[in-house]
Amino acid sequence: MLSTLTRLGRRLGKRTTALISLILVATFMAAGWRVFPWPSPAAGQVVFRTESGALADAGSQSIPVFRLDDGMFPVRAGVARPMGADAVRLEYYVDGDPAHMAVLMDADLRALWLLTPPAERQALHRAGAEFLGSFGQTARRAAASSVFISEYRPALAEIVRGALLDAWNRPSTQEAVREVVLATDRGVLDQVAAAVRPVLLEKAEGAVWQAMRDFATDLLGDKRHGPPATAAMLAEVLSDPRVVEALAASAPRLLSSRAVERLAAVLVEQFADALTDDPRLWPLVQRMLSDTRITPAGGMAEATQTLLRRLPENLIRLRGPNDHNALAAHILRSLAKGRSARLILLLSPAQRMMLAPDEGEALHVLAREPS
Amino acid sequence: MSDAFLSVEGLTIVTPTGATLVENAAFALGRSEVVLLIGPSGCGKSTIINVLSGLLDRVEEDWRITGRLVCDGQSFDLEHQPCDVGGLVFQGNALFDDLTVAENLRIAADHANGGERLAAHATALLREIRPEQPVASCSGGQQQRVGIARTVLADRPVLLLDEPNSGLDKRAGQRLAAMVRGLCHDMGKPAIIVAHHVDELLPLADRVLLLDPVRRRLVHLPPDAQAVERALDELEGATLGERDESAAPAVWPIGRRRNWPSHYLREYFWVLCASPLMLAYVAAGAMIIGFVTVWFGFNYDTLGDYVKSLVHDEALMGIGLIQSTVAVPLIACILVVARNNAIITADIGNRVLSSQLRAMRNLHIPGRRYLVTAILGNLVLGSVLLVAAAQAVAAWTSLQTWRLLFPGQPFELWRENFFHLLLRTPLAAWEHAAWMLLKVILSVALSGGLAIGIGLSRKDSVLDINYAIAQSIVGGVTVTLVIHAVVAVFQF
Repeated sequence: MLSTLTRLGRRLGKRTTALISLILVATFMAAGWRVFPWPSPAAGQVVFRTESGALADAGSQSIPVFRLDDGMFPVRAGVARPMGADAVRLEYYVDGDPAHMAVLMDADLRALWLLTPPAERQALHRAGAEFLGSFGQTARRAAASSVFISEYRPALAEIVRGALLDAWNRPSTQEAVREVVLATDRGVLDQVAAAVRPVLLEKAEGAVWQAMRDFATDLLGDKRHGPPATAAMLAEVLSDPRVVEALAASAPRLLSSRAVERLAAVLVEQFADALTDDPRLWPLVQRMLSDTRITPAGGMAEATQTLLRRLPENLIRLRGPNDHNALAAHILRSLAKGRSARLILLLSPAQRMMLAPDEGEALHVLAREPS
Repeated sequence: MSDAFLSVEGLTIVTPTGATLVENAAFALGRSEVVLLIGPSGCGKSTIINVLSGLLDRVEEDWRITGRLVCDGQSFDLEHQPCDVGGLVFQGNALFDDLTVAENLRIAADHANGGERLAAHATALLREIRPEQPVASCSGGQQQRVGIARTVLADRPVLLLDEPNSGLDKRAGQRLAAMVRGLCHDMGKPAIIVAHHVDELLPLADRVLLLDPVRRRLVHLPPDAQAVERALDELEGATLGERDESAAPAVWPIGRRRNWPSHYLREYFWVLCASPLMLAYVAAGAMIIGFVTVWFGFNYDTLGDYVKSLVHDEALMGIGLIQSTVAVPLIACILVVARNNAIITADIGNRVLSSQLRAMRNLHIPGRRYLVTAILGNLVLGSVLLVAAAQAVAAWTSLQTWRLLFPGQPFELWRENFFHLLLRTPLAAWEHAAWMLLKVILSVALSGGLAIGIGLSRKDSVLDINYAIAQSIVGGVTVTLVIHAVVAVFQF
């Protein structure tokens, strides 16, 4: 074998084969040299100042830097390394344009929304509205269905009642109650409590559905109008004639007390906690949502599919099967991991005006340090 | 026998199976004397010349030899002292077929004390052979003369030839006998020729020793057949005359002294590490690894386009780490071990089968040390270099594959993520490098040792070499897999 190879080498000539080997080795070295991240200086490095303490919690974690291409699609342009609490050093992949401004942003859905072009925002708005409308209709139909009334409503009512009692019995609530009792006449309290309790139980069921709608609205990043579900429930309770009548008699003495305000706040907070802590709630809700007797197939399907299709198309903005939106991926990963993260966006003046004509002043533009 | 150049007394040889080949035998050789050693097949002629050339492995094979040998004033107790007064020309010549003709001579001269002064005698036998000619391209007769010339350069007191005329026609046999006769005369050294067919050798022999297997004795005979002898004398005179006409100076020099350890180091470095074939082979494996890890890492069926984008950075980090620390070292080592184990075992197996290692031993060439050092040194050094080359090629291929998958993205994004986990901190980078070196060196060195061991085992046929190659590949690859798996467990 050795002699055969040696003969082959001799036939080609030692110099020729050695030259071939040298060329191959040089090629491998060039390939390695090209790809390996040698500790050489980046294409360009610029130090930027942030608002005071803006990076106090950033530690040494590097911040990705993006630019927008001609189609306003975000592309990675470098990495920023925090230098203390109020400065970063930007290392550009290729030389940065001095005319571009660097904007520091939190890596959340607002940043994604900001970078969504107006037409795509409108499309998302429409899809979201359709989804919420469909969701509301489905919820209303479900709430009126006999299946819901006979099978789910009692269980839900029991969970709500249990959450209320749990919230009432929690130490923080009892502490607030004791403060109210100390500040208020006992007879008046008993009178108000007797009037409020049944109304509270009654309104709490409807508040569950409203809370779910609020949750969905929050999730979509849409601006929600009106108070949260628990506050709305409290408002409904307080506007109920039976409660109004009971309160009217004792309102002057009750409402003058700060202890009562605190009790209301604590009670609402503890009720929400008790509700979400109840292990029966989410299995029941899931079973209910998948129960075709009250949420017929296709009821929300089209709206949901439209929304699910629109979300990646308009928000993550992938332009094709093999596309990669590094900025969207950075934001969604941060959200999924539950970590606060930041990003830096390099914008030309025209891009800044195009993206956020009304929010220009609100953007955290970094100040370039003189080189 | 007082003027004998070599004398042997009380020679007894008992085989490992207990058979006595010769008992209390004695013989002597005068200077320049040519003696034929004849006898029936298997009677022990070759054993006697193996005793004289120090090639009988008495320790491992349990031969029992007694007697006293005196050669040129030096005395040997054959029971306790190995004796290698004889330079042996092997039956198959046992030429080093990886060396040229000149290199075959040079290596013998470089391992002998006085080889240089015999260069003229040696090269005079090879006038029509080019020094740079590969031995494989020489004819059978030429190879035999190269073998004799090489043994001459070993500068041993006695020239031993094991059936040199087998396969030669009568005329060629006569020329051979004349050549040996002339050599002995010119050098003043005796020769023992073991032969079956002695007709053409008798005229030039001084005496004949018959090994009698029945009485286990060496019988001294004069050369007989006077008439034939006379005719052969005439031929001998003609042959010698022809030789004398051209007894000119050596037609070519055997060159300067060589550094043989570095010769074998360079030769094996070329074959095991640096030949274009090896480099291209490892690069091809690395390219496949670089492509497969990235392409299938991102194109896994359950990953939709959106998920592919979302997991891009982490996926690339994982691919980079696993490719660099596990996949490339493993595949590169398997490729290197599979190829090189086959080459090493075949090469050494061939040296064993064709008695090249025995010839080296007889020529006082530390062949095993040269080969083992050169092979293991090159395996270790070469494998580290080849794995480094494979890393470069695999990483480059990964980049190109990634560009296919994610067109338009900046190259720095790939680089930032691909090397992120590997080079997270200087300490982590050094740790990964140390683990990688450990498994590469360990697996290649052990596999190489296995290949050498299998290659050195007894070979009786080409088929034995073929089986040995298969064993060597399977054993080497298995050792490599196990070592990489075990080290990876500790590494992660």
